[in-house]
Amino acid sequence: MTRRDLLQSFAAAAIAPSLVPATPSPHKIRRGVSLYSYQEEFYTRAMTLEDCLSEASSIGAFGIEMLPEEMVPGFPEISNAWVDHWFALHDKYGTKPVTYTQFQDTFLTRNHDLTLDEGVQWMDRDLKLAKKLGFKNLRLLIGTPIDVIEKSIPLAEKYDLRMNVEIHAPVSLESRLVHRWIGIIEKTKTQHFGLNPDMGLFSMREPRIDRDRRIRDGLLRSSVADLVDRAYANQLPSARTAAELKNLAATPAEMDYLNTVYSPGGQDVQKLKPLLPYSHHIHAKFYEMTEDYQEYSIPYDQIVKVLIEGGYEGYLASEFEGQRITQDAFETDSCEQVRRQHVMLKRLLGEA
Amino acid sequence: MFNKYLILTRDFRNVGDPGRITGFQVKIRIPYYRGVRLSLIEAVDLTVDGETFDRSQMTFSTNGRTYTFDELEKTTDTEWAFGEPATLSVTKPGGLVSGMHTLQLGIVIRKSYIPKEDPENLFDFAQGMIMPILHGRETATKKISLV
Repeated sequence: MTRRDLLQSFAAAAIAPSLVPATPSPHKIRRGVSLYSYQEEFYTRAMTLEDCLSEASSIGAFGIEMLPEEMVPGFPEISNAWVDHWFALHDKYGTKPVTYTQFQDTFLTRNHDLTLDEGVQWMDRDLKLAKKLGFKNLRLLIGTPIDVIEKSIPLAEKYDLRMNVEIHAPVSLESRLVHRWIGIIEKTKTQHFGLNPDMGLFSMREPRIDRDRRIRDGLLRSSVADLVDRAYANQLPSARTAAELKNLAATPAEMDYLNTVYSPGGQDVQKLKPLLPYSHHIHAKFYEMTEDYQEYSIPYDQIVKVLIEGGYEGYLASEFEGQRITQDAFETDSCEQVRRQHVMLKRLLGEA
Repeated sequence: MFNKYLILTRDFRNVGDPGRITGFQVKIRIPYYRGVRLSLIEAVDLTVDGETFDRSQMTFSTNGRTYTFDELEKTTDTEWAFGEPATLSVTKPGGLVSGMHTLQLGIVIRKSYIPKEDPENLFDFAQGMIMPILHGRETATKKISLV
């Protein structure tokens, strides 16, 4: 679908919203997982790389994103034997490498930041390794210097890889930064630089696991948390709730909880639509999947609808990030959390 | 993150010869979701039973090599691998006495998420976040018996 077709389809949908089907239309969205999701089990050596790929395969998440600095022994050297092992595992489990999670460590030493040329060399090294491991995309960090991106595009073209910069909260989808990136794509007409939105952009309410962690850390009295939550649910003005908290001699950390609850920062999901023609990989970020297959804070029903309507082509790669909030007090079961997300995604994508 | 995993119980011991104990060692893991070049280890601090040891009193061993903290700063070709225990060796003549010890660890990994300079004014949303992100310190406390 060209950009013009896309805009026309939006216009049609705006005129006749009833034409938008209730059940998912045909789409080209596939399920994947970033092995980031299994970080805790990999860290503690409860799971190996093979265990991760086997698990991903068993839930139909065949598109694999990997952080080489999480899982490749000896990085940045990668032995040929390990490369063979990597491809043999994908053959065995029917998975495929999709996105290499790159880290542009600009502030490499205490006394020296990478220059432009050193930054491009750093990117070149990652592009070569990604190619060697069969990936199609590189995820770039939000803070990757603009001049390094611009100067690396010819390299990405040479290796036929795509660099996708991650749009991550709290950046606005309408910010100058996002426009700057799109400007590069439009100006160069390149097929080798794009966007990688992270669905944490649409976190519509404070994760309850975060509230509970603040209480465990002694930063928040549960009575204060209840008061704030109730006030917000009843749509009481924040100034009035703040005044009530002052009467309870609330601490700065408790006032911070109030501000967080009242400003969860989730953006309008519709604002993702115009960015989809530039988006080639998506992080299906999540903090907590409940037993009834809902993400507590992120509205995946709305998100998947927008992705289908907007003609997104590519993977939705799970990015489980709740473990860091709960691991102090509870055992982490990353596999179950990712499974719940895929039950949800499968339903929303209309997979049989 | 991973705070409860940062300090390992196993291998906590005095080092040196009997009668000539030179210090002790403890195994630690990275507080981050990936491995990093050794030069990205901005700082490690350790306090045992209230006594704080600075970088000049410690060495860091990984991948079969031992580094002073001055050497770590300059080592950009080797990583502290994700989840891989590194050994922190601390100089303390006589070592620690047999019994329970309280270890407090702090680790700072330098992160390049947000540019330090922003000539095009693109990162205004991150104002005030740069230093905490660059230099966020993760901590862990653990009580371990030394035999």
